[in-house]
Order: sequence, then structure tokens, then C-alpha cells
Amino acid sequence: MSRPGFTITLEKNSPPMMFNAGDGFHYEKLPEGTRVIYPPGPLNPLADPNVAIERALLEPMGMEPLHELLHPGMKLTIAFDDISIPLPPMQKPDIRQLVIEKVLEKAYAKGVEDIHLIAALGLHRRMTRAELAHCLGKKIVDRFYPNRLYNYDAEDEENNVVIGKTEHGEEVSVSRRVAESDLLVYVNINFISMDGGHKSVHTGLSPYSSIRHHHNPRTLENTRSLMDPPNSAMHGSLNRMGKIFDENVKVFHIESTLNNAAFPPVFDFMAKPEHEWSVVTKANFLANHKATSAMPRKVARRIFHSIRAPHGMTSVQAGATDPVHEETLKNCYRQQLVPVEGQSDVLIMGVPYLGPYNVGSIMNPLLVQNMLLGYMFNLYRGKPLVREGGVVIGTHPVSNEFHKVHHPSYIDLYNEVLPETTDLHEIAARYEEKYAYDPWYRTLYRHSYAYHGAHPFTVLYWVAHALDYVGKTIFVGGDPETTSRMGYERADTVADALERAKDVVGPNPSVTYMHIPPLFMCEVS
Amino acid sequence: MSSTLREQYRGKAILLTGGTGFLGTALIEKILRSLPDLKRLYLLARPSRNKSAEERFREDVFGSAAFAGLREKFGDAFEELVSGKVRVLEGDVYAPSLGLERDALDELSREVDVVVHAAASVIFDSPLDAALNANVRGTLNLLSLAREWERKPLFMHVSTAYVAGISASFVREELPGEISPNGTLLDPQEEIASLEAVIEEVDLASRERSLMRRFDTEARRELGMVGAEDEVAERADQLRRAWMRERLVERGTSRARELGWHDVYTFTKSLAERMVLRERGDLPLIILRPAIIESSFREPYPGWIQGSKMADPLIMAYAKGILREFPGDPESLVDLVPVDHVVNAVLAAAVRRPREPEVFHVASSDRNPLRYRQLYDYVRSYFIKNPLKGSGGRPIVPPEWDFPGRRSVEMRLRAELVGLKVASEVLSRLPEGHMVTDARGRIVRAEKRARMSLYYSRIYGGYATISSTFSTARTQELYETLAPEDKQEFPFDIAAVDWRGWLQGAHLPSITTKPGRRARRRVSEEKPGEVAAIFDVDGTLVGSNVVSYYAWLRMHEMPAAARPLWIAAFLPKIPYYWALDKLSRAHFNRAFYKNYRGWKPARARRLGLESFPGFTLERIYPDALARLREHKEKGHRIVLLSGALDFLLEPFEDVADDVLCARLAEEDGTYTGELSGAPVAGEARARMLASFARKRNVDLSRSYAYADSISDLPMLEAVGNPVAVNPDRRLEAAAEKRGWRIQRWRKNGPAS
Repeated sequence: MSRPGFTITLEKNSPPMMFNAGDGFHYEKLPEGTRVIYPPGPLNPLADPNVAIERALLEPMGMEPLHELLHPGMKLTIAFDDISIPLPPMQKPDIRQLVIEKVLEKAYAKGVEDIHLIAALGLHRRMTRAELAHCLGKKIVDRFYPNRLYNYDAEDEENNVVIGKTEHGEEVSVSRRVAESDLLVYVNINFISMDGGHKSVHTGLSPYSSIRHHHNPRTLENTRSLMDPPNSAMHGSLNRMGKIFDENVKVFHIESTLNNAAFPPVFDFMAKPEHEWSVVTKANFLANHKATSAMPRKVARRIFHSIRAPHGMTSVQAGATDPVHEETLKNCYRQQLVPVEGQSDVLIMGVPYLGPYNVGSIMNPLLVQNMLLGYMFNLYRGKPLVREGGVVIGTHPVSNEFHKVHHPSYIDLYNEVLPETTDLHEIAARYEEKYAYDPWYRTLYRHSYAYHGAHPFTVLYWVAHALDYVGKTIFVGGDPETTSRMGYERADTVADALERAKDVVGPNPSVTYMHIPPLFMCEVS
Repeated sequence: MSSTLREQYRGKAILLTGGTGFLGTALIEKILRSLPDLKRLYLLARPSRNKSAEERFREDVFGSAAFAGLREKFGDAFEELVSGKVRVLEGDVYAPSLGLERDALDELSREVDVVVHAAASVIFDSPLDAALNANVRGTLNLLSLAREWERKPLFMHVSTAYVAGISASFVREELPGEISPNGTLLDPQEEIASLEAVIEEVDLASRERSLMRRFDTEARRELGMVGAEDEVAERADQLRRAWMRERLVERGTSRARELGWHDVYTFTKSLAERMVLRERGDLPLIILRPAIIESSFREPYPGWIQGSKMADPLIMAYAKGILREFPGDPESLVDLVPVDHVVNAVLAAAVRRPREPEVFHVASSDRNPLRYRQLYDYVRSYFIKNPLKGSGGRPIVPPEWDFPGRRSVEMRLRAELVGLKVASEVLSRLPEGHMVTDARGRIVRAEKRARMSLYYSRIYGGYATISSTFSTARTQELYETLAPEDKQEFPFDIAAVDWRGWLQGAHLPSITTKPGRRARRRVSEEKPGEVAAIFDVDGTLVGSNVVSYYAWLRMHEMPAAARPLWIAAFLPKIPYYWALDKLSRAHFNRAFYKNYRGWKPARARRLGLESFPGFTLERIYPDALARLREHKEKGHRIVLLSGALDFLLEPFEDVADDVLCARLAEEDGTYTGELSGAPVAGEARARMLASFARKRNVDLSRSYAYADSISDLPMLEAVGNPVAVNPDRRLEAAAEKRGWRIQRWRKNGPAS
């Protein structure tokens, strides 16, 4: 059993804290009395993932074993999560490769010939051949790419089909290949509790016309939190869609969970509490800190993005979507959940270099706010770590940098929309469809490696709940221009930010530093 | 007669044909202005292609500048005045009973006191059948009806002074005799019958099988790969009719010349006079023969003119520098009359009911002669002061004439044409390419200029050497009988006209500022067609070319280590391709695409898709993209017109509404290396574009095109808003000369 997550309160002579701050770090002593919450240590991985997978396929939950579902002449589609999870991308072999190799083995044995593999990327960018090879292994790619292994295309009108409507009037559309398959095997990696379950199909294999029903400001304001499906309006909508989908398509879901061994030994300081740092650890951190702040940002970025995580698999379960996902969430929480007593007035978090939408890319300002207020703020079950009306402080330079190939519609949204308004409802009403239907974004999404025209909108909506709840957000080290354009404040140091926070939370705020990464979530009592 | 014209017209009714024409419009205006007691003005007119007769009058006639004064004077009462006085009859002088209902005919019979027949085809070189129909048959139709009408109306036949023919010197106001101008005995009835036989003969000849085949082949060639069967058939019939038309123009002109007339117009007008005289029965008849009717002297306002009158194309051709020498005798007379003089003479004459037919000339040569040399001096000094602007916005210097005589002018022009023909023969044997295209363009322009000059010389030359003087003794007599008030109100004393003042003060300003015929046509066609934005791809939208695409595709497939080897093997071919491209883009494309021989379409398609993010996207001009998206937002149809291959352009399917590009021919599932269809280069582009525009109902005159190379010139010329983007030297020169927009788009620069 690994060490559980824990909380300490800083004292006068506690060491300074390190913060992730994009493609670099921030290092500052926090005031006495600050509560710091550390993640649990990585759970021990399963001894033999292959055996675990085999067992999951043989003894599925609420369904016949996989081999009994396979027969010659059938149409089999295997869908898998895209590059957005896990973070950082895991060292080879990727779990998807292990699982899919097993599934294919069984399919071949049963004489199944019509097999398609689809990267369930929804409105995300297409994966390159190299990325696919990283996920699935060279063997599978050589055999199936590009005709039977391909990226899902939400804008291919012919190859998406409406299969029904929920009782709330939400259109349920999915990939035609999937709808027409005799069996869909969905291979998922559950990195965070938001993912998996019915979300997999209805965001990964569905076009904008369907996704817009749950990725909108109203739904996301009522998603409290994204990481707590029973209290998420978004997951409510996804489950309604899932019900319709299950009536139409037989799905065999395979979900797996990971431990939080996110960084190779070079970055050991990330996973170690500061008070346990040895001289070597500290020297390593300082060297990294100095180096990343001295080198050109591009170089630093390349170094960070070359990190491959030594994630280990902690569970794998297969079968019907709902029971499988329930089990998955349990395993997920087992690794990630840290019990915490009480909320605080101010919550500090270090925003890392990587989020789900900038793998091998640039975390642009919109993604930074999405990371802090969309993902990190939502890492709670029950109630948020910060009190309503409290202040969130993030450390990140929020540079005005965008990846031209990956995020073209982000650039235009940032330049065209944000100067006009930052009101999510107004943005949705005035601009979303224009971007969603823009033929050039569509072209780039389909044929280049760009996120869909509507994607930056969903990224904005992700912060709907936080904006509604938080009193003020401050970026330490943030670019004055980008932060103010998005409607936030900035400060040079955390101390400075804490001073600014006092306008909102009073002179003696309680302060919590949630020490991410590795990723974990809090159950606040 | 002492009572005024106004009184004499009281309670009377006039039927006017040709009311939508130049003279007709002026007549209507004058009648409404100066004959308030007239009971009724009937206007007979055909519907046009898209307007009823009623609409033609309401929009084209009453809406014209001629009526601005009246509208101002009457204000809101103008419409009332018109509707109270004017009745428009939709009919056709060619049709039996004019194509009118019984009621209308009865009304005309009961009411009409005066018929003014001013409808005619004033095209000098119109085909025989059209001229005969318009000028003779229509007149006789109208006459035979009018003969039966209750009030036995006066029939005023508006003819032309030039029915006198070529040889005449002093022409009296006399009825036509039994002979033609050169003394040939002429029975008009028999002549008409024999002309009809000619028309039939030509029609038969045009349907001859070998000819039909030729039309068909030509239609197919023109429409190329984009022509559907019915389009081809339609085009073939158009070609047949054009062929017929050419023959009929020729036959009509040669017969006219044979008998001593300049052209088919004066010939058929004279036939009409002769037939009217013969068929008039007991109707009183007046034949009124104006000379060259030009813009007005005083009314409705000085210089008012509609359309292009006889002398104006000549004047404009001169001002534009096309007519470099004049084919006439500088001392010959140019017999102009302002339109308001003709109108007044018509109205003064039409109240008469002579027992015997009468003839009036409305002309200037007798009492106020204007010679070509004078006209030239007045016109030249005007254009030196007020030059026209060329396409580049530079003033055109009007040429200086030294009147070497018509024969010498024409000889020179013919020699020039022969030389040009030889040159173009030589060029046509050279392969298609922009050097050749350029030279060809220059030859075509020179040829056009020479042909135009020759055309003017042929058509107008006859008039320009005329020594005829048209007596206006009777017209002058008529003028003298007018009451003093009428002389004020209805002046037509030609001696009162100051030619220099009228030309420089009214006429020339008017013909140079009125919207050109082309401009007007454009406006009328504006409604239905869609606007397109047409982008060339290689070099304009994407900073790339056929060769680099191919190299990328090949190298993309091979291991990195093999690439330098491949390049080394490929490089020696580059100079050959380069030279070929200089000579002809089409030849180059054909030759280069052979490299794709043996490729499988699936492989091409896959590489094509991969080339988009890997190659194309990095080379797209951001400005091009910005422009494209702007057009798209305005709802324009986005068309990519490119010599590139289809599989490379496939990723553009969501941005472009149409992609017109090259395709490789396939055999047994493999590319043969040949193009299927013509290379999309040079002239072929313009042809494809024209055919595409027809099919998709795109209005090219309002459309935009963006291109970078001289080989795109024909495509740029085909649209109303051409833009030269990063043009090569020769395209830049061409664009500057034409006053086109030139833009510089930068790679990876900010979209401006």
C-alpha cells in the first residue's frame, strides 16, 4: 500500500514551495499557516497487465465474455481514447495497445474479418500516424492504417448518423460505422473520473450536432463537479444519450485505471513534498528551475513534452458500460481521492505545462484558464476546496502563444471574440455556430491537425461552473495583456496575489495550496 | 394656314410606331410637351424579351432622361398626363392585324387621324431577312390596315435621305421613280420576291450536311469537356444561324450595291417607299426623309441622345485612337440633323392631308453644309481638351488625320491585315504558351483595330465620300408657312444651327459621358447570376507548383536516407521542364504529369490527403485565405481553378464550392500519365470558366479572379474584378496596362 495523500500546515521555517508554471516552475515561500495538500503516492500497479486484461475479457460485468460476442461475418469496431489521455502520454507499451492486441487476437480466432479501429477523438485534432503507433504499437498500425484504422471525422456528413433523441430533445448522432456495427468495443483509459462511461461514445464518436447538447454554458454551470458524475449535468445528458445508444448498438466497454506515477525519476521533486527534499532533490529542482527560465521557451517546451509517464495500470474491467464504469470510478478514486477537512478562502494551484488539448503542442491562454478553472478547480467531490466567492490563484505565464496548426480557431476566438465579450452565454449565442460551421476550420479539422472550430468554445464553457462560483482569479506571473483580455487579474508573486485576494476574502484568509501534479482530487468535508 | 399646330392637333389622334426608338422617344416627349389638346397618342410596340410593351414605355421611354424636364414641370401630374393622353398597344407591325385585338383595331379605325411610322431597323449591315422584315413587310402591314380605317388617316412614312443612293449629287424632294439610283429598272414587288428567294436559298444551304457537321464539331470543341449534349446542339444551331447571318449580310449588301445603294438599310428603305406609294390606296401620304439624326439642338435639352447614332461610333473610334486614318474625302459633306428638328418637321408635316403624296427632306447639306474637315477639326480640338481615358487611366491622344483618300486607307488596312494573318498563321503552328499567347494577343489587338477601321470604312465610307446635297426647299417652304408662334415652338430651320457650338457644347459631351452600351448591358444582367470568387491555386493560394508537389509526394514516401539520391536523379530534368513551362504551361503540364504513370489512384489520394497538412498548409498564403474567407462570408461562390491534380485539391472540398482542375486518365485502375481532358492552362482556363459560368449561372462580370501568372491572363480577363497576385513580370505589365488591382501576398505574413 502506498502512502495516502496528506495535508500539512506550513510553519515559519517551512521550506519554500515549488509550483508548476507552464513550461517552467515558480518557487516561493508561502505564509505561515498555509495548508498544503499533497497527492497520494502511486498505487502499486497490477503485477501482470496482460493477465488482468485476459481475465477482464473472460469474466466481464453484466455481459457475455468477449469471445462469445464474436462471430465470423460480423462487423466489429474497436474505438479507443485519443491522445488527450493519459497525461503525460505513457511510456510504451500503452495500455490501449495491450488491450486492443488482446481483442484482436480473439477476433482473429473467431474469424472476424470486418474490423475497423477508430480513434475516438470527437472534436479534438486528428492523431498522426506516429501518435497512433505510440498508442497502438507499430504492428497494428502497419496492418490497419489508413483504411481500417483511422481518426473519427465529426464533419464527414455521410458517415455520421442520427440514431435518436433523448426525452430532453437532445439529438443523438454517432459515427455511421459504429451505428452499423454488430459490436462496438470501446477501449478506455480512465485517467480522471470525468472520463469513461457513456462520455466515451458521446463525445468521442459524435459530431458537433450532438455534442453541443452537453458542452454548453448552461449544462456546465450545473456540472458540480466534472469529476463527480452523479452531480454533473453534463454526465446526466451523456447518460440519457447512452441509454438511446445502448438500444441501438451493442457495446463492450473495457476501462482501465492508472496510478499517478506521472514523472520519470529526473523530475522526482514533483512527487516529493518539499520538506522531504534532500539536498540533491533541491539542487535538481533549482537546476531545472533555473534552466527552464533561462532557456528559450521553445526548448523548454520540447523538453517537457518529451516526458513519457511511467504510469502503471491499477485495474481493468470490461463488460456493460454502467457496471464497468462504476467499478472504474471506484478504482480511480482509490488512487486519487484525498480527504480534506473544510474549504478555504484562497486556493493556490500550479498550472502544469500540459493539459488534454496541448499534447505535443502549446498551452495557449484559453487552455490555461481551462486547465486552472475547468480541470483543476473541478478536482473535487462534494464541495470545492475553495469556498463560494473565494479566490483561485494559479501560477502560469499565460503567454500569448498559440499553436498555428493545432489551434487555429482558438486564435481567431481570442482575437475576434474576447475583445468583444467574456460572457459565456453571449459568446455562445453570438459566435459558436459561426465557428462551428466555418468551412476553413472544418477543412483544417478534417485534413490538417486542428481542433474543431467549436472546440475552443467548449474549452471556455468548461470554466462556467468556476466563474459562477469563484470571486476572483489571479495568475501569478501571468501576461498582463492575456489575463486582462480573459477577464482575470495577475500578480508577480503569490504573496502579491494573496494581498490582492484580500479585497475579496478579507484580511486574514485561510489559504490552501493543492500540490499538483501528480493529479489527485479532494473530498472536502 | 394661320392657325397654330396646337390648334390643328386639337381633338386629333396620332398612332406612332417606333416610339421606343430615338426619334420616337423625342416625338412622344414633344407631343406631350407642346400639343396639349391632342386627344390621344397611340403607341404601338412589341414586348421585348423580358418586358411588356407597357413596361418598355414606362421604364425605358418615360423613364429616360428625355422626360426629366416634363416630369419636373408636371411633378406628380406627369403620370396623370401620360395615362390620360397615351395608350400603349402591345402588338407587332409584322403580325397580321398588327397582333391587336378586335376592340383595339376598331378604336384605331374610329380615332386615328395621323399614322407616324417611324419603326425601322437602322442597322446598316443587318442581314437581308431582318432588314426586309423590319423595313418593308412591317410598313406594308401597317399601311394595308390603315387603308381600311374610317378616318382615312394621313400616313407619314419616315424614311431616310440616303435612299437616293451612291451616285446622286443634288437630290430633290421627289417621289421614287421606276429606276434604282444607278438607273436599273426596278419593280419593287418582283425585287422583294427575288430577295425572299435568296433568303430561302441561304437557309437551305446552311442545313447542308457537311456544314452541319462542321458546326457540330466546332460546338464540341468550344464547349470541351464541360458541354452537355443539349448545350452542344444549341451551340451548333447558334453557329448555323451565325453562318446564315453572315451570308445574308453579304447577299443583301451586294444586291444593294448592284443597284446603286450603299447598303441594305437604304436599299430596303427605298423598297418600302416604293411599295408604300404603290399600295397607299386613297390614303394621303407623306414621306419624310431625315439625313443623319443626331443629338438634339434644344429639346428636350441640348445634346440629348439615346443609343449610338451613325456618326458616333466613328467619333468614339477616333477618340479612342482606333481609327488612325479616315477613309473619306475631307471636303465631302456630313449631313447631320438634330433630332428635335426632325421631330418638329414631322409634326408640322403630319397635319397636312395632301391629295398627292409629298416628300420632305430634313437635312443640312443644302442650307448649312458641314464638311468632314470641319467635323474633324471640331472633334479633334474637343478631344485634345477633353481626352478619353485609356484602360490604365492615361489620356488618349486623338490621332491626326491627313485624309489620304478612302482607297488608300483601305489598301493600307488590307495590307496590314494580310501581314497579320501571315504572322498569326506562323504563331498558330507554334505550341501554346504565354510567349505565343502574348504575341497572339498583340496580333489580335492589331487585327481588331485594322478590322474595325476597315469595317467603318466599308460601312460608313460610302457616306463619307458622298457628294450628295439633299434639297430642303419644300421643308423650308413648310417651315415658312408656320405661324410665328409655331416657329418658336416647333423650330426646324437648319440654318440656325451653329455646328461647332452644337458639337462641342452639346453633342460630344453627351456621347462621351453617357453610359456605354456595355455598361448598360451589364446592369440589366445583374439580377440572376451568382458572384464567384475564382482562385488559381499554385502560386496564388498556395506558394507551390506542380513540380514541388510531385517531389514532396515522392520523398514523403521514401526513407529519409534515399531522398538525396532521388533528388540527384531528378534534378537534371528540371531545366527541361523549366524551358517547356516558359514556352507553354499546357505543354509543360502534359509532359510533367507523365511522371505519375503507373500510380494507383488510392496511393495518390492517400498522399494527396497527407500533403495537405504536410506541405500545402505551410505554403498557403494567409492573405489568400483571408480573402477567400471574406468572399465566402459574402456568400460568393468559391471556385478553385487550377492546373493541379484533383487528389491534391481534395482537402479543399469544404472551402471551395467548386474545384475545376486537372485529372489523370486511368486504365485498369492505374494512372496512364495522360491527362483526361485538356490541361487547365491558358485559354483552356477561360473556356472552362465560361462554360462553368453558363452552367452554374455565375455572372462573371461581377465575379472576382485571383491569379499570379501570365498564363492566367485569359482567366483574369474573363471576369469583372480581376486581381493579379504576386504577378510575374509579364502579368504585372498586363495588369498595369489594364488598370487591374495588383496585390502582394506574403508567405506566413499577417493577413492584411
